[in-house]
Amino acid sequence: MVFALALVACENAAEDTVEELGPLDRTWVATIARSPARFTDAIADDRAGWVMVHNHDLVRLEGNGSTAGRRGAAARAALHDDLARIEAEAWQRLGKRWEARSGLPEGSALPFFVGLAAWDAGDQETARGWLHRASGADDDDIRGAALALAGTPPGNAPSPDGNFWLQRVQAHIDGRGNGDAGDLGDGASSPVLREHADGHERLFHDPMAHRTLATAHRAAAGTVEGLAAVLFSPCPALDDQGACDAASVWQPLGLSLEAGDADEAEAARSWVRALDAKLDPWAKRLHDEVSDEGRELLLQLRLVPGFRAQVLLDRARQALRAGHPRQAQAYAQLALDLEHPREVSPVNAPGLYAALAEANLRTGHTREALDALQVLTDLLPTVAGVDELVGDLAVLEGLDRQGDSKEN
Amino acid sequence: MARKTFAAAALVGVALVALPAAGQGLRYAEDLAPAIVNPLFTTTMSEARVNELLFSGLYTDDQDLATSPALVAYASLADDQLSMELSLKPDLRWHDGQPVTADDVVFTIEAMRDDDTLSTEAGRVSWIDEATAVDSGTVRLTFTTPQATPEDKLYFKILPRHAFDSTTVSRSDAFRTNPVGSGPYRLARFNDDNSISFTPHSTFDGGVGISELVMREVSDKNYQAKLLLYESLEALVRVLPRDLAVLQNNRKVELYPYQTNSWWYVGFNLERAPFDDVRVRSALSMLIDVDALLAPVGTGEVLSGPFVKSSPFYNHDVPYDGYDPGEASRLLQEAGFDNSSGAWMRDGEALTFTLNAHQTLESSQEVVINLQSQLQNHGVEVSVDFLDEAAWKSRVWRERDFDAILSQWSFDRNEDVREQLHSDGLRNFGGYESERVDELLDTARDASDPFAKKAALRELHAVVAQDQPMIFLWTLDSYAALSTRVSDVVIHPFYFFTFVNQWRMN
Repeated sequence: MVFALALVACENAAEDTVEELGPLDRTWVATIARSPARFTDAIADDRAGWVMVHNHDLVRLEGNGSTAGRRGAAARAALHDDLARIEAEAWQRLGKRWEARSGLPEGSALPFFVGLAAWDAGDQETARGWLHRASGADDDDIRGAALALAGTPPGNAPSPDGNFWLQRVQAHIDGRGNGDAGDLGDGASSPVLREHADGHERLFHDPMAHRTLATAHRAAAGTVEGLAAVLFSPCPALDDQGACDAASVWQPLGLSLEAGDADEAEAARSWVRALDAKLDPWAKRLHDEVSDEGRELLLQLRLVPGFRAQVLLDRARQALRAGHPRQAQAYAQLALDLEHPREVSPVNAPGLYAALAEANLRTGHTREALDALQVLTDLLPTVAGVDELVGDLAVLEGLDRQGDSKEN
Repeated sequence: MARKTFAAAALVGVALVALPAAGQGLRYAEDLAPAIVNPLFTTTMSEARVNELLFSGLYTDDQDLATSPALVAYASLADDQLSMELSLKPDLRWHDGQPVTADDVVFTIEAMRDDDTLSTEAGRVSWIDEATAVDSGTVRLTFTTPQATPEDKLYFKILPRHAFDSTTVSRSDAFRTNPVGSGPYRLARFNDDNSISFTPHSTFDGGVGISELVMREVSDKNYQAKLLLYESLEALVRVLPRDLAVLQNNRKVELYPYQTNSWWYVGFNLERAPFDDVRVRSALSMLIDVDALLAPVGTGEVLSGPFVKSSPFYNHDVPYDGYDPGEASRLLQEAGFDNSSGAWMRDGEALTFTLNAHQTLESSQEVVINLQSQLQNHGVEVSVDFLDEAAWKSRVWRERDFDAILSQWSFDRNEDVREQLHSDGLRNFGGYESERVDELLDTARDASDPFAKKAALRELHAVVAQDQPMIFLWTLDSYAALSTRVSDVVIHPFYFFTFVNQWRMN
């Protein structure tokens, strides 16, 4: 139905000539719509697994060693990378805001976790500052670990010497080295420390867990070649050497691959409008030209909306890397399929919610980041810690504010 | 497809006739034109949105939602955090050309605190002990308790002293139809078709990008999306969930997430029997199939308490009891009711009540009729009374004269439910009283540790779910829609128009 509606939208779009839209015929979407047999061949080794790839069912793909399973592992690795960045940002913001507002809670392990998060993100200078502040922690092991890590470059484990936290750091580094996260992911779903405060508990999750999970899933992903490497991905096509060749598709259509200099949402929205002005007439033409079997693939698998969403997710991630969270927010918002906005689906990949959460967090929309994280929390237990952390930050940011409520 | 288009156009044809033509202005739809334009008495989102156009506060949110000066040039907080001095920006003007002064700030605070004003916003200044004008451009505030960042609480809108006779302000004061503010737009006129036109405030700090805004009252929400599609509007503030897919696939429209912290509820008057009995309230909640009620409205999430599921305060350990007629029967029998006649009776009286709903609450008619039907099938007679704005304000807000109400609360990102659930809360229409809930709300208000606030409000969720002063229904997927003719759009997640001066028309 959505695709049918998208075709209606085509009527509003400017018509390009067949030649002008030609580069889009190089995409994997066109390839399988025109040659369904190639699609059948590409997914032959694990049809059930490819259904999961298409549905972004990353949980059920876990441990699957087929080509589909490896694609799932790559997507999962990217998702944990996203979550690790969100977590690193949230820890820093939580620590800074708390300290600026009321001073850090006395004896708390909070500065240790903020420092550990910075240390694991490779920011040694920031880490050192926070780890020094942890010298006042009540817990001996926390103080010892903070001292040891403050003098250790990121990525190198100081000698654990029976210290629980240093043992954990060592386990992460070992896990990353051998591509096996073991049970370290549990620290992302359950607190690794429950700190008793005045009448309540502070729960801290492991700030290193998502980076370790990302490394482990990346190791499982290995390399996938040929059509199976790009199917349902943002990469439109491969070059002769088997590398992703986005430039030859997008640049002739006048769509820049660069993020641009300014972080303006309008720039992202303009880019998406330009993309849609090309995709819509091309999708209509493709729909009319292909065989019944190809048309069924287009419609049943929602190939064009799914491809569009993947392209926009890729743009969102690129914008985040370029330091343009407003652009990323716009790309992610425009990618989301609003027929089921709170569900992972063939169009709404988990990474889309992570990108939206990160973009919201980095534009000060901390509470809105939780809306996106909630979808992921329902999907993956390991998102729980990030969700709680961003929630703590949202609460902290609102402590001095007066709430407002209205009817309707 | 062409035939479909024609049919849809015919459907909205009548409505189109009355709409002004597209120009350089922006036309947006509200379900109901604000009854009162006066920030002292704001109770609805549509009023809050108009306030955002017309009025300024001392501080506001910037685009990163950080506190940012609006009328204030600079401020200094005393070392003991018990007072601050605020200097206003020079050359600020009201829409009528009068200068904005410190007296206006003092007047606004005093008017909100004036017991006879009966402001719905009085709680917003309860932490201010005294406000005095040091000179025409400087205000001194003293606080009841130390305030680390008082600017975070100085968002309320400032009113012009010269427009009022005294700090006792009435809802019916002439100001409500002739408001004077210092916001980006001034109210130009009320039009014959119940629309309101706004034109730019010529001296607004930073300028204004769109030459005219027109607020259209389109009470039938089913038409709003069509009007946008046929370019008879440029903006919808809230799209019906069922219209989202259609609008998303029209390339002349773009959607923006908006007002996601909202939930629907059926609220009971706990001061009236049989709703003073928690067993009856619980039983009624179990006789209602909330998923079936929600389905025709659109996509959303069913809730077990007074927060949306993505809230840090939502307690995911609280089970959603859901539809359970068997358990409902047990509870009603325990409460002394019998349904041997097919209707639930106690002491010769049937279990029956009147459900009030605001006549413009989106989709409320469908919800109410379905709810009525569901309860009737289980032996509970419900009569329905839709109230217009004036009757709603009078019966629900002031007199608390109702059995049960169907309504929706929208919250800003702080999700502060104190007014709804504290025994002293101004929005606690049902008269809910719980010592533990009051304690938890106080803990949450006074917390300096976010973990403490989170823990308190998660416990509150559990207590309130047990006490069931209301049936928590759902939160809807909530989006605004704007024509692509409007550019540089940034929407505030609660107040919507906070950044409207930066919007442009292509």
